[in-house]
Parts: sequence; C-alpha cells; structure tokens
Amino acid sequence: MNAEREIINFYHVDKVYPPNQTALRGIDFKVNRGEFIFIAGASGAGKSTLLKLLFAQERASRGQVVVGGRNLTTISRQGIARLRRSVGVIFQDYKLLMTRPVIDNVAFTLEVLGVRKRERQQLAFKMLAAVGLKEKVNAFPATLSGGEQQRVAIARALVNRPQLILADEPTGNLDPDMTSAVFNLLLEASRCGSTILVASHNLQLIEELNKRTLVLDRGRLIGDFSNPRG
Amino acid sequence: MTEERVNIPEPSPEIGAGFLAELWRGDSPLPRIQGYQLLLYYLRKGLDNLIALPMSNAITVITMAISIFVFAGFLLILQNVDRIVSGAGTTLYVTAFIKDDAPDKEVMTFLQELEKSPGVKSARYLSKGDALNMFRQELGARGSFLRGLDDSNPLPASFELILQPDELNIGGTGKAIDKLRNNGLLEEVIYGSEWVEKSQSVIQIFRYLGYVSLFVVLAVIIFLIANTIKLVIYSLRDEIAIMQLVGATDGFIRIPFLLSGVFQGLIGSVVGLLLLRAAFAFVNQEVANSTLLGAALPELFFLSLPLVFLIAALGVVIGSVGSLFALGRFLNV
Repeated sequence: MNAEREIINFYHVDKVYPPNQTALRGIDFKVNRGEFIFIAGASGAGKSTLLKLLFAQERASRGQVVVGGRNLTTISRQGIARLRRSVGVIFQDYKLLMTRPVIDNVAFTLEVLGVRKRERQQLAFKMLAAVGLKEKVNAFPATLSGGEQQRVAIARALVNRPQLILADEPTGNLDPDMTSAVFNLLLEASRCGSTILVASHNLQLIEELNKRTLVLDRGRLIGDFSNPRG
Repeated sequence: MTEERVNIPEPSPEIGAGFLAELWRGDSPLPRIQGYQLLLYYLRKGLDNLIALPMSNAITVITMAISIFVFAGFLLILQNVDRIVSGAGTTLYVTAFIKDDAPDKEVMTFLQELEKSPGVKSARYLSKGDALNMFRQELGARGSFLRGLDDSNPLPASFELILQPDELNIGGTGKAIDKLRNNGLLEEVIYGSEWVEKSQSVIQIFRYLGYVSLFVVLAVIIFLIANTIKLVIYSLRDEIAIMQLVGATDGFIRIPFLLSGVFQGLIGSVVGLLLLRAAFAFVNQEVANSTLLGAALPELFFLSLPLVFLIAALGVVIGSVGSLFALGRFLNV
C-alpha cells in the first residue's frame, strides 16, 4: 500500500564524482505521490546532484534510488527513456534547443512521445501562453531574455502532464511577479496529482509557501521539515 | 501516465490560475503517430537533418560522390584491363606432331577423344599431305621447289587444337595438355608454354593487386565518410543530449540519422556513378578517335547494371553504417 503511495525512495544513497569528490552521502528519504517538496541548501550542498539521480542523469555510487517503482541503480537504457517521459525537468541552465523556435522546444517533449504534430503544436502554444510567452512562440531562444528562456523550460517540463516534476532553481532569473506565477503553476500541478521537487536556496520563498523541505549541507541530509514555518 | 485530452481551453489571463487543471483534465489519449505515418515521420526527420546543416551535409555527399567515383572507377579500370589481358592470353593454340609410324586408326580414335575432351574448344587433324600443301601455300610462287617432296614428304602429320580460355593454369598443366604429353602417338607438343605461363601469372598478380587495392580504397572511404558524418553529428550533439533528457529512446534518435546516412549514401553514389559514366563516355570517345589507341585497344565496357546497383547499395550501406558509428559515442548521456 505504502509502495503505491510512494513515488521516490532513497536508501542510504552516496554519490561520489571521480576521482574522489563526494556530492551526497547517506541520503535517506521518501516522497509520496502529489507532494510538493523543497530541497534547500547552499551552493554545492548537493541539491542538483540529488535531482540528477532522480531522472538517471547520474547514477548513485552506493545505495538505491527508486522512482515510480523503478530501481534506478539497475535500470536499462530503455527504462531510463521511459522514466524520463514521465518526469518533467526544469534545468538550471534551461537546456533549450537553440536552433529551433520556442514552440518547437516545448512541443519537443510531446514529439518524443509520438504525439501528432497538430496536437503537439496546439498544446505547446497553450502552455507557452500560460507562462506569458504567447507572443514569442516563433522566436528563437537566443533572442529571449534569461527569464523568458527559463519560462520556456518550465513550459516544456509541464506540457506532457508529468508524474514527477523536478525543478532546479526554476525562478532564479525571474522577477517577483513571474516567480509567483510560476509557483502558482507548480502548485496547481501538485494539486492535479504531480509530485514536485524544487531545489532552491530562496529561503524567503520556502518559508512563504510552507511546504515540506529537505535541507542539505555538504552532501548530507540534515533536516526534513514537513512544515518549515511551524 | 494518463494522456491529456486534445481539446484545450484558452489559458486564463491570470497565469497559472486553473489553467493546468483544465489542460490536464480528461482521459482521452492524444492522437499518436502510427503505422506508415511513423515511417513518413522518420523520413521527414531524416531529410530535416540534411536540411538543418546544408553545408556539412553537402560536404558529406561530395566526399561520398568522390569516393564512389574513385572506387567504381578503379573497379572499371580493373575490369577492362583484366578483360584485355585475359583476352590476349587465353586463346590457346596447340600443335601436336604425330609420329610417322603411328597407325591411322589409332590416330583417328585419339582425335575423336580429343574432340570430346572438356578443355578442348576445337581439334582438327592435318595429314602429312595437308601440312605440305599449307607450307606450299605459305611459300606462294616460291613453293615450286617443294615439287619433288610429294613422294618423300618430311613434314609430320599433326593435331591443331584450340583450348578453352581457362584450360591452362599457371604451371601449364592443363588436362588437355597432359593428355597430349602422355600420348605415345605423338612426337612433340608445342603450345608456347612460356608466354602463356607468363601472361597467366601477370593476370593473376594483377587480380590480387586489384583486390588488395579495392580493399584499401574501401577502408579509406569508410574512414572518410564516418569522419565527415561525425562532424555533422558533433554539431547536433546538444540536440541529441536534450532529446535523451526528455525521454527519447536510442531508436527514436538513431532512425532519422540512419535515414540521413541512407540519403547521403544514395545521393553520393548516384552522383559519383553519373560522373564516372560521363568520364567513361569521354575516354571511350577519345580512344575511338585516336588511330593508335583505337586499333590497339578492344572495345571498352562500362560496369554492368547489377554491379552499378551493387555499388549504389554499397554507398547506402557506408552512409548508414557511418552514421550509426558516428552517432554511437553521442548516445551515452
């Protein structure tokens, strides 16, 4: 029963980058479906590494990472592709296709799923409108500001109704109004059933939203607060 | 994962307010690309890859065309030289002189045996009288001094044979030759063995050299093509990485690149072969116009149609295999 509710399970996870740089050590936590979680910590605390382990961009050096019932320690290449189709990732560096217009960047996630062109273009357009980029659908990413690029990345991560949304500093380049709009979208996604993990060092925002928060310090999980304000 | 429905409402003016709930509501799956549409999709993506980097792809196609031109040209030269050399060396005439005391009946039986022999194209018997008459004809007006020889003809009777082209191997030990050498009715067998053996050796060496050179040319072509394609794929490495990060399978990424390689190979091969055909027509015309070469060389032949198709197919295989090899190292994200 618990296993059905749980979407993420970290068992004693260590991550060591070669030659000997420990990014995470002894991480243990569980996340239930539909939860909204912040991962807090200073730069270099291991927030991004933890997110990377969740969509198999990196593999754990020790311990086990289970996402949606899939053990990512032993997952096949095909399994990784399947996993990633159900995970929306908002990258810190956006990872946009610079040679394609904005709408294609968002529709790309649906293209990988094999959705027909007309439908994916429609959905991508709606999603871009939702993040305030209706006028920029045909622009190329290089012509957009950092904040606009970040919003394209957010639209791309949300467009295919992912079970799990991983966001690495998703509002780092946004003004307060847009930050609020983006978090409204993420909260709404959470209400719709998606599980959200947001890596952030914006303590003010974390306190304001008052959601479960995992605190990392130099690779160790030093706190798991279900109600940071309280 | 539950699929979202197709009919999507216009987003709310207030960003994020109820929009996702509306967008994600419903159970009907999104229409997927299926069947022949999937094939068309991959073909279009393959062409898109070519169009996306026109210069790089043009270089790949030109490299392919030049490579195929060189490869097929080499094959064409090899084929024609082989034909010329083989043609000159394999018309084997053999003369076997018959002993004077050989019984006629046995001679005739042996002739029949020779005619049925598989290595023999044709065999004829020349009697002593025939030999004298031929000699007389060759001498023409000066043949009159042979008049006195009619009763005491010193010329021997003989068999004149034409052997099959592949009858004589390098050692000059063809079955028909062995048969003649071992027969007691015969005085001597003459077949210009030294020249035949030399020409056969030259043909054989030329063939071996040809095969080795073809292999080397092929290896160089594959190396060149794979590297050119690698440059194209290298410039798309970010796109490939992002495709993987949003869940594209290896197959989904590979198939369009494979098809791009097929297109490059096909276009390159066709261009290379057309250039070769034009060059061949030019050379053939020049040879025909030249009094010296026209007389010395037999008719030149272009590559046979099956061989042309085989070379085009080889181009396609090199293009697609080159693409897959080049792509391999960029798929480990």
